[in-house]
Amino acid sequence: MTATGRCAAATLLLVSISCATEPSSDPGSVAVIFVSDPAAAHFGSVEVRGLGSRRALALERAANSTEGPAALEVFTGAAFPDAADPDAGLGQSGLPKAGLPEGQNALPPVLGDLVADGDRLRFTPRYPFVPGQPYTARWRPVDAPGEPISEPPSSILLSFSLSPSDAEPTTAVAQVYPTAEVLPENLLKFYLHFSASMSRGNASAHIRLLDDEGRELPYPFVAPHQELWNKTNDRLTLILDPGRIKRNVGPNLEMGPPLVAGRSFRLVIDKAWLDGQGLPMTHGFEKRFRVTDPDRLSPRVEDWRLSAPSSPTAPLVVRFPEPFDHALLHRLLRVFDGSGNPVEGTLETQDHQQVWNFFPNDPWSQESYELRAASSLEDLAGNTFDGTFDTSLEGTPSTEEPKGGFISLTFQPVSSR
Amino acid sequence: MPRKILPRDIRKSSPSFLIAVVVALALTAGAWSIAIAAPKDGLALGKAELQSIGALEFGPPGILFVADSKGTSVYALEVPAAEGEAVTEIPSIENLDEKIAARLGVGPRDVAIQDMAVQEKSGMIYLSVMRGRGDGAKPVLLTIDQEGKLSELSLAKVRHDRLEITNPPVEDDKSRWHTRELTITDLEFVDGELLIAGLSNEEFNSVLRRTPFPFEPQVAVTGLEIYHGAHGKYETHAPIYSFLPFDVGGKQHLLAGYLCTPLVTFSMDEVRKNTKLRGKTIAELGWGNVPTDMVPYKQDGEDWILVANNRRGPMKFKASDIEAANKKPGITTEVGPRVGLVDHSVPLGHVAQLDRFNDQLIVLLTRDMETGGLNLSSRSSKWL
Repeated sequence: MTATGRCAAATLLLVSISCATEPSSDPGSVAVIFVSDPAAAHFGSVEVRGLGSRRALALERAANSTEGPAALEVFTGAAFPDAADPDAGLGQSGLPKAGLPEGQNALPPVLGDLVADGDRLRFTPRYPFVPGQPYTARWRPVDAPGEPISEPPSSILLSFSLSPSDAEPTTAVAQVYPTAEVLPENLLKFYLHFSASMSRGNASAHIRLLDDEGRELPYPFVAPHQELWNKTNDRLTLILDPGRIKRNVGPNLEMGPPLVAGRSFRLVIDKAWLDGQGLPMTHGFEKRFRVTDPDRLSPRVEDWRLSAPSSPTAPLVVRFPEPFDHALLHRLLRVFDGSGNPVEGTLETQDHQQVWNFFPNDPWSQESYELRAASSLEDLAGNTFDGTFDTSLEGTPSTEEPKGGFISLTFQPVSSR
Repeated sequence: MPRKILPRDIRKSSPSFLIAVVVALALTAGAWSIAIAAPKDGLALGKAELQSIGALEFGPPGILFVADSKGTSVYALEVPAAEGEAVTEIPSIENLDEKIAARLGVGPRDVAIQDMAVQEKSGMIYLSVMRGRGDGAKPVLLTIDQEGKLSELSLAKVRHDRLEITNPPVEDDKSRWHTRELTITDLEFVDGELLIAGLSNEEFNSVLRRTPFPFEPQVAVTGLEIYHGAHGKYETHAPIYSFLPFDVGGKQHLLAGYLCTPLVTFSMDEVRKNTKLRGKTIAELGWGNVPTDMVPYKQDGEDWILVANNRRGPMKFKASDIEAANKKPGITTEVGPRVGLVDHSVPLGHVAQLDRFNDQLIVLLTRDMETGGLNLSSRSSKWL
């Protein structure tokens, strides 16, 4: 604490703290305190103690009437050069060299609620204090209706910060789909799966696509304003710029497709990417793959090999002649019983998304079952049963509407008896 | 009918007739005020539990639509405009991102401004912001008033309604496909209907959703396909990214910007009639780009459309050029990467957000090339 300071931290969680007051004839009456509370949603609050209860209540009312400055405000940032070392910020008089920025550089105070509690006035932030982020609380005696200033006319600054997390990184890239090492030139998507949730909004800074000479491809992915995460923030969808992978498309002519048949590429993900807890990953990830000719054919269900379950508990196994989109294999293929009710179960893919295994929760009965695949199921190049990714309109009436719907295959489990 | 009589006949009316007219007007006003006092808007007071916040769009007076992609929902919030004279100026604020960060108690890197919408007349600017980028990220709706004061619109107690967007767009309902995830990229309120454009994180497709307001639980869907003008005889089902209603000869149309970046028109009559529709490609704006915002404005009595892009600079188009292009058959033969419409560049720098305040004023969030800060400003359409 500084010489004349009347500020403190009631510490439960380690905080760094520094404070200063302006000269005062009676500095003993009011104290500004950061009360840490790691269990609370907001991690802590700031209190002014030593006010009369009527005065505290009047200041609460004045602050909430939106007229005039509030007596207690909290600002983002330190009023001292080094909040952990208050002396570093103090001049010879014991006053801080640096205060809160003013005038043009003034920043608005942190959103929060000011509430009187007995002889205290308490500030609770609307959103939690962030560990590692410095803050400065400022007490200024102000008039309140019916309760004029009764404290020493000096303001108090209190800088504090919650100690940053010392947790060790634990998150990593779990898998990148498609997993095959050979991919078509007109590949449409990558799915990046992580072992835990990730932070949003910085993906492009941490993903690079390099050619076999180590050169980075410029803008290989579509960069919509919103990144395409799943709800749990542990899977990111990357779309290769479709303007570049279609044939004869301008960019394609201008600079070629991002992937070129016959060459090798690396998708590189660096470990500095922050996870959902704000920590870097344990290690980076690299996917090497070779590129082959573009796939411009719609899948044909005639080419699927369906193996009926060999026992009441054996899986239904479907083998495809080419890999399909990993995410869509989990959503757009469904098994139904003879009455048309969906069969619940678990599924897994094998052989680089070319085999689909479905394990029913309850044993198969002897009835006939149906496998339905949505016609919008995509292969790696975005070709579907409805048509190829870029469909030729030659000879096709332009009024023809795309199909939609689903493709149906029936099977009967083999009796175990 | 007082409204028919008033303009021409009132001066030569006898005093008793004047009184009759005034009484009739008062009765009409009374009926209106009753209708306003008990609106059947489906809104209820309570907590709007948004999981995320994104696209914003003003609807009927005092209604703000807010997209929540993570919650697969759109909210209608009541945001009444303050009474009084129409506002004509918008405050300028430098380093707005720093100020928002300070207000939310985080560093500027932990603030992601998602969208901006300006309320007509009140001039109140609404910003949808995600506070934080990790697990603790919170959706926040901020306002900026005439004085430049940055406040929060509390979602804890607000009259609102929520529309869930979970119905599958194309497949047979009976097959019970799982609920899909959708990133809502743009909202537009057209003729009493809210139009919702989105991007799936799995299928590569283009679906436009429609719902009347007040919300009804069933959302109408239209699958949209386009000719990709730059690749000749091929069509694609690229996702629509941002769009704008515009009038062609009294008929409502949509001008849609796609990912890669064709500009396409759809007639709203056709959108309403069909579950699948092919639009007319009228221009190609160039590869590697996403059109992020489109707004109409007037300059010297002529209608223009301003388009902000994520990687290409802002462009402006004459509405009459778009209308003329819309009359032609559309691009279905192989063309170069940037064709169809004359785009005029606009000296605005890097535009992060764009909205129309009125015919004369555009509100902008631009990245300052010298300081790197994000600045809020307005620009008279004279200087666009």
